[in-house]
Amino acid sequence: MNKVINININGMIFHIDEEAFVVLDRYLESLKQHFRNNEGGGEILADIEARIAEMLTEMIKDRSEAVSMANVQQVIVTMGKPEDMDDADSGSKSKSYNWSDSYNFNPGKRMYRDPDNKIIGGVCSGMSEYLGIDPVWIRLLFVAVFFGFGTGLLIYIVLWIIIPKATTPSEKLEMRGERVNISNIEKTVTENLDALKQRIDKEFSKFDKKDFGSKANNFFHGLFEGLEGGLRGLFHAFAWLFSAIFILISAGVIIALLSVVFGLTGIVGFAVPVFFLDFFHDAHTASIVFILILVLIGLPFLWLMFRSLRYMSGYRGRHRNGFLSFIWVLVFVALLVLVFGNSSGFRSSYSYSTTDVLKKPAHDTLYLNANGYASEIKEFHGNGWMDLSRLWGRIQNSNDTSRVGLVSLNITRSDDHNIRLEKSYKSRGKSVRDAMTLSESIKYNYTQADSLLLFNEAFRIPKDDKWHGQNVRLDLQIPEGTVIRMRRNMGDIIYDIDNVQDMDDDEMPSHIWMMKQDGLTCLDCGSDQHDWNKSPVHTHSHHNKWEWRWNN
Amino acid sequence: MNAENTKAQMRKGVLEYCILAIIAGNEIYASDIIDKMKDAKLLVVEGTLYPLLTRLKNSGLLGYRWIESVSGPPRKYYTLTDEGKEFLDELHVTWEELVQSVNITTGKNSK
Repeated sequence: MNKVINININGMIFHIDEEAFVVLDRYLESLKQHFRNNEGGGEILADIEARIAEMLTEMIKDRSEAVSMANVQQVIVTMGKPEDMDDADSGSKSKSYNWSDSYNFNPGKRMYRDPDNKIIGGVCSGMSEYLGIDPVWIRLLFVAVFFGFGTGLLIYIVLWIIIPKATTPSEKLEMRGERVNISNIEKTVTENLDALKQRIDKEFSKFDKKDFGSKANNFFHGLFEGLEGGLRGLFHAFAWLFSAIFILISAGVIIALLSVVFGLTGIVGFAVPVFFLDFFHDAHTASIVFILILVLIGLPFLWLMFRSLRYMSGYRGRHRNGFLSFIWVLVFVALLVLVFGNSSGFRSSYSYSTTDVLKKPAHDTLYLNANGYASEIKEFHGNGWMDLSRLWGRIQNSNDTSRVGLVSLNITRSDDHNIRLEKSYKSRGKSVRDAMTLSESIKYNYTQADSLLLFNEAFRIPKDDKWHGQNVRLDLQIPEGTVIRMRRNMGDIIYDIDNVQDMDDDEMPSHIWMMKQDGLTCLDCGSDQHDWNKSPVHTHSHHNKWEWRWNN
Repeated sequence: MNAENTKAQMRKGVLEYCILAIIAGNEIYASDIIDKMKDAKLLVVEGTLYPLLTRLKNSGLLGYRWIESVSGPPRKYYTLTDEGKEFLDELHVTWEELVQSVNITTGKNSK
């Protein structure tokens, strides 16, 4: 059932078949694209349109007759393809008119609501066009789902709102996925239809060749038409509300992001989260990546805000999303390049370990102490935020011979009667060889004075070495019966030590430990580990004495 | 080397000359120019004419005026300007020379 449309070409009204219209419309559009850059292009087009009107008038003697596809094709053959109209001698590609290859254009199938065959909103008929099955089955399915689960109605309403209605002839053709015969389309898409409308006024003649049917049908049409209007109104109200919410959310996110980048550290501005630094060669890359990530998150919100504002203000101009999308893609690519470039330096890893057998102390008690710059190092590896200027300044202008990182210490049971310290050095690198070189250049020192073990909190890396996740793990292996006492600052380097009490690393230094059959056991925790008062008096005083000795 | 290409080139070269010559006769409607040129087999597709006319008009060789029509909207009737007439005279001379040259070189000079 082809519809007939009235069009106005050069002041003359023609009835034209829907499909023929689409072809003619696209032909004119391709001409327009072609002559867009010509001097006097508008005039050329007007002349051509006048000629087309003249040709059609000659073809259609009976004015009530509609212009057919054959007529339009004849017009196009006579008038010629846009590229054959060039008068300038620019290489002149005078091809023979091979209509068959450039003639068929499939606009691609899209799902639309079909207003011509609708019962309620045209959702089912549109879906059936899309899927190529009889609409009855889809309607039955919807009814079944409605009675079965009650959700059918909801699904229907959602589909009604999100699937656009096929209004223009092109949309209807797209809906049916019919092949549209067309030649020389420089732009295959119909996006420029709007501009064309200025020249071709089209109005839909409402004379469907279809019978509108019984009164009951008319009644339902009226009812649902009203319902559709109401729902649309409701939808717009919701859209408005959501726009307002979107604007608030987007503005909030953008302000938050900006304050992350600028506000946090006050005077100088930029700050990056410290954990970030562990993943990058150097502070520069880390900071740039961090800022790019913020931009990547922020841009879509900016876009959302603009769109919502536009919706609320009722402005319906041309969408200009191109610029933001372009920037976004650019940032994304830059980020990928940086991250991949960076991660290539972390591709391989290498580790090796050396074990020292320690001298046995006179007694069974080992005193553990740590010194160094744990608190400063923790600024570079840990939680929290680091001011960029400080970070860059520190690393660039440092007079230190090396960069530093924190060691971690574990305590396990020795297989024999010896006390050992196993030191594992690990690094990542571009290649295994690279990682090996880096791990071998890590320097770490500790000292033993009888029963006292003094650990450096930091290991060192030569200044020129890049940060490739170097780390040093220490494993202190002690035989059964050895008592361990720690200074409080050991809390900075002990890491995940298994103990019978399952105590956290932070609390462990404030207790006395002994290696027993089933592991490191707390000696002064008692049955209830929170009750210090219940602890035996002598242990308590002993502990104090120890503290006293160490504090002096 | 494409023969079609060369033919099209040759045809395009004389197209302007012929259009000016046709218009020189009388004030004339674009569609009538098309008819004449089609009779002379100078035009393959009609679309070629319009960019040419516009270009000739913009360079001051042609002028036009709107004349009411009985069967439709007003029509553009083209005339030669004085400049156009001079231009055409020059082309006449050039064409004569060209025909002579071609005849000599292709050995068709039977005179």
